Amino acid sequence: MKLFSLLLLFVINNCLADAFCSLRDPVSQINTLYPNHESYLSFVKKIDNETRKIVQENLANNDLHFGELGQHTLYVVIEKQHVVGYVHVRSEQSDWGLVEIVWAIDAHFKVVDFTFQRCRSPEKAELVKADFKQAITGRDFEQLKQYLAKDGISANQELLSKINTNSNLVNVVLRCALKTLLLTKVVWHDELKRLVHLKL
Amino acid sequence: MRLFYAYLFFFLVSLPSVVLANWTDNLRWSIDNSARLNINNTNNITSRNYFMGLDTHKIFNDQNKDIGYSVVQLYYTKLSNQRPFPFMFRHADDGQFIVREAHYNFLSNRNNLMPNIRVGHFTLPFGLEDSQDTNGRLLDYGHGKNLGTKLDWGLLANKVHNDFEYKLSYSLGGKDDPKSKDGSYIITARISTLSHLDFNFGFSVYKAKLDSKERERIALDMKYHFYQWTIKSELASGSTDDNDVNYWLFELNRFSLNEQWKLYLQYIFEDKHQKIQSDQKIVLGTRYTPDNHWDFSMQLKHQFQHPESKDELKLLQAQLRYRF
Repeated sequence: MKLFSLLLLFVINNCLADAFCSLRDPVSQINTLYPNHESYLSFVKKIDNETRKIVQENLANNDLHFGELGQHTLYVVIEKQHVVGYVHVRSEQSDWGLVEIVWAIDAHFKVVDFTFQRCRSPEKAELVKADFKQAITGRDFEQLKQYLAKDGISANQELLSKINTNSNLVNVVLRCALKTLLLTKVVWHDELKRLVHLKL
Repeated sequence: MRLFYAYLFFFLVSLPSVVLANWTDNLRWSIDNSARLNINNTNNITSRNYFMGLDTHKIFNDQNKDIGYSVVQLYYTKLSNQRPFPFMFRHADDGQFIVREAHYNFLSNRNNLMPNIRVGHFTLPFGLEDSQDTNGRLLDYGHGKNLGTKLDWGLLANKVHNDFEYKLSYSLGGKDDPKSKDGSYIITARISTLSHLDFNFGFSVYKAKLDSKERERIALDMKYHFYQWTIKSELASGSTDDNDVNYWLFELNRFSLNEQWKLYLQYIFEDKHQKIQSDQKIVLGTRYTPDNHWDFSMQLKHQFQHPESKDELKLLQAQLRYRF
């Protein structure tokens, strides 16, 4: 029995609560974010408790939702044999359940754009407006982190002064962007390094 | 015979990428275990079902792009006092290895109209089940009952465009056997708005010769998410041989903020021409997922005016599932 338990621990795998046939690639979202792309390359990596610790160390008072553990995909977007960016879908808990955001990131790990894959909040229309997108695009992890208030989970006055909403969804999207940039760099580091033949 | 050549063609085309692939890269796998208890209060039968299987998902790519992905799910399923028992079992206490989904999806170039081609054993693209997978769950959209089978062996063209997505399949009608039986075939298609949107609307058609019966269906389905609530509905109409069949499902569900709890209520109406009275069912269910491994579900199915027994059917089901 002990041997069986040991074996079980050894093979334990971070998986999805639903069967894998329910997985869907964000094809139309990639089309929207990179309208001229020709193809994409998927890289599946595990996000586990070690990764969770990295998030907690780099973003105080933040954590990953249990649904965020498991195997996740980074899409490397290709145009004319070159990498034009990365796409990653990440979810964040909000007042209306999980918000799923599809992020476009450039090769220097800066936010290029985003689109909601799932958002039940009535405030989402405010966040796809130009002022908010202008405020967060072109920024890397450290630059975006400057928008965090001292509590580590909400937006500070610097960001709020640039946009026309102080909705709680702003905090959700900001936290999601920070986690996405951090995880993309940390978790997929080796895979992205191997893509030298496709670099810009 | 033509389908056999198509299989052979796709097998040969995919062979290099499959054989030369690094099998551990981009591979998701899980051991999926569940135990289900069914208490039927109408005929006082209590049955149990046990499932243990391997669920895999593997993406294949070359240096520049994804070229396809496979889904393979092989389950050992054991029945205990299951009456009536599904067609693939020999008796009420039988145990069998069952292939659920087992297919390879060839991805076409993004910038042309050529569809992706799926080959293998797949869920028929029809109605709500197409956008909401219920594989291994108590939640059900009557897919198998309405179409005669939930899965079949064949070919399926599919593509997601910027504003819509579609699937079109031709399959053999052998259900779990990759062959045609007595001229059986199934043609199924669904076109819909993008399935990730808050409002999703789909139109499906189905034509088949299955179990020596001619079957036809058309269906409209929709789902709408608002806040923590979701409304789903499917309206199907058609015939089995010369008998008209109409089917309507309505579902209202709500999840908790952290999405660990889900509660759903379904109303199902089925009207068959040769039956004096229509079937009406209410299903009340809940699902609790504390983490990525455990899943506990329970549902109560109440069928009014059960056509065979003239009695009401009350079925209580509970399922514990663990994936690792």
